Amino acid sequence: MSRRNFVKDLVMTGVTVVASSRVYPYTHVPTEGGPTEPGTSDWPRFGYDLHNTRFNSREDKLGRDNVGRLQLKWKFETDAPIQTTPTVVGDTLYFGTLSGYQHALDTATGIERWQSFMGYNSDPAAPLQGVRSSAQHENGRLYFGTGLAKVHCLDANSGEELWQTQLDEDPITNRAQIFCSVAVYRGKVYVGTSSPRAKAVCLDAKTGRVRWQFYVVPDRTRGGGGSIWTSPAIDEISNVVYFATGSVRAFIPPDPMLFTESVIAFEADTGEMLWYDQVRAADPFDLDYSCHPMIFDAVHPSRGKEIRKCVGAGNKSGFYCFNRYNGERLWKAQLTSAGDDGGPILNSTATAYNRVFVVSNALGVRGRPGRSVAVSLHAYTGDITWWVANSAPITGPVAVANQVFYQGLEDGTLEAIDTASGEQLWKHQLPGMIRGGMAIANGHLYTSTGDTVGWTVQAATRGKSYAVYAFEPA
Amino acid sequence: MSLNMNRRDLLRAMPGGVAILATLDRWILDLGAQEDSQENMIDIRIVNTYRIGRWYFDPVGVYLKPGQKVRWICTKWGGSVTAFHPSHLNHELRIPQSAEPFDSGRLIQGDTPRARFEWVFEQEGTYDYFSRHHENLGAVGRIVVGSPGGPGEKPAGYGASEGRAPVYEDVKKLLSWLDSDKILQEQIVPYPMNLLERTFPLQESNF
Repeated sequence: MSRRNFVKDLVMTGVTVVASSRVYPYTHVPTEGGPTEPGTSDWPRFGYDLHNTRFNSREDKLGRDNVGRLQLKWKFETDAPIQTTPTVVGDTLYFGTLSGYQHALDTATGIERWQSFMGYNSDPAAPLQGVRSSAQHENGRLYFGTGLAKVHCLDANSGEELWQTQLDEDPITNRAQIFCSVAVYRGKVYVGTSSPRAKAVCLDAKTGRVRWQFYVVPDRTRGGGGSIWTSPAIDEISNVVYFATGSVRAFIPPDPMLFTESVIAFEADTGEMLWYDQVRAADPFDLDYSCHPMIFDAVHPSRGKEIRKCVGAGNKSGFYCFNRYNGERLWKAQLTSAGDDGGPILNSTATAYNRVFVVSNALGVRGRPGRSVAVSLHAYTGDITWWVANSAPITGPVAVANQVFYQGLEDGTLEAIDTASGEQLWKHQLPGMIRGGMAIANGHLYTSTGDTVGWTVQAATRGKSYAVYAFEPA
Repeated sequence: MSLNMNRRDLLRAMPGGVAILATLDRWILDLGAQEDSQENMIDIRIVNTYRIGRWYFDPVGVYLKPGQKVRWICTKWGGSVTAFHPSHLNHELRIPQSAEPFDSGRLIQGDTPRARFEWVFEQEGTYDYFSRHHENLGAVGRIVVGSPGGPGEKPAGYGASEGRAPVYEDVKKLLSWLDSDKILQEQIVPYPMNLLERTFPLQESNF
């Protein structure tokens, strides 16, 4: 298909309104007949579930009692940084690398089953390269985005490509990429682009055609920003998808730029905007929402019947919690200094057990290295229930499973913490920075090493080696 | 590609002959002149510093001789080098009357020609320019060629009575600080990091 036809299709399909067939609640349909049989507690997508909780509620093998006995089971080395959360379904683990490959490994041995090359642009002006978007496994298919601003759908068993869709007609000039992880829900793929004219997009999961899209900023030539750095969350009951957007790029807009640094709720089928909340307009301090929106029901500390229906997300100044039906602001927690590298950053949040877990970066001052704090907040009030100082900043996702909170820091520290008390249960030193977070699945801990926030893969890979690690309790 | 290489290659490619070499003389002189102008070229960086919420040109003020070249290097996506001229977003005229208004368009970042913009200033006078997306953050600069003069010496905001676009407060503040005498005196004026204050959004009072 020529670029012109593609753009025409994009415009034509962008206004398509799809009739909604309301069958609720949505349930995950496991693979039928495929070789990949689901495990008892898989980690099928970036946020674990469509609510983006990063809390594996089905995990019952690895927990508080045996996490202290975790031992390295295998490691799989690559030549490029890994910044995706491992996707674990049954006996297969999927991950992407900054050199543009998607890999599938055997979870028992760490032996590679297949690898698939997604392309790489060596233009030095190109934006972030490779696969930084964690894959979602759904019905034997694997969905994810790339630094070339494409969404790919692969056969999860063979790695064979089923379709790909280019979401920006000129990703180099527009500096467009897909950094965020997709959410696949009821035959549709929800994803956002990071670019000076970012957009939220809904694709057809079967064909990859665009069903609706929403530009965060009004005018292409102005390059207003609003990048979507993180995965959308979906409320299946009300059929709403929530996106969080990044900071503004142009400070003299042609029209009001209402949707940068915002949480936006869309009707999932049609893309109709239901509400939005812009935390700061025209902010020159780059305080993006870089943590995924999370959907949770918060119970009052003493009145058990009082429940708040929440959506919350972290930006680089703190964690913000809203009523997910009307956008009413409920609470905010600023834990460390705000700044372009401060606050909760790059998905360092999770929610479980009526708590919100946030790792928040404190900026280094006068040449001193930055640090961070891991904090447990009450989901209803935002009050701090425990607080732990960390040795280094964080630039990756965290996870919760079976009463244990997991975090991986920039200095390679991998830690397991008791969700109730904040007590450290286990610690392990990896040789490099942990960027893709971890997946807790089927009694194992899977994680990887990435690198700094280098703008090119050349800068990031210089003289290093990277690996995926699997840990199992002895 | 270096000009030296070209010259050597050119000479090597020529099959002898004094007459031809004589005509080359002028060429070589021209190439030499271009080399000189490259050496005299001034670099100005377009910088973004999120921690203090700034976009700016550094150095912000530069003195040039007529015919000298300036190269702007964009270090962050989206900067521009745009002369104060009515044809640019209806801005008031702040370059010499008959000078050609320059505009780089949107520059990108990285090791690419699209992250750079060059302009040769032939006509004497005062030239003010801005970055299209970042003007309200005080992203303006001034170049004095030869001796200061022209509409650029008028107070910022004079064009309001002619129906020109309003001038942002930070721009007024910076341009009044950056008077041409200072540029004549110092030749190259670095960006004043402490001049413009921007409140850091530590608290959102409405949340």
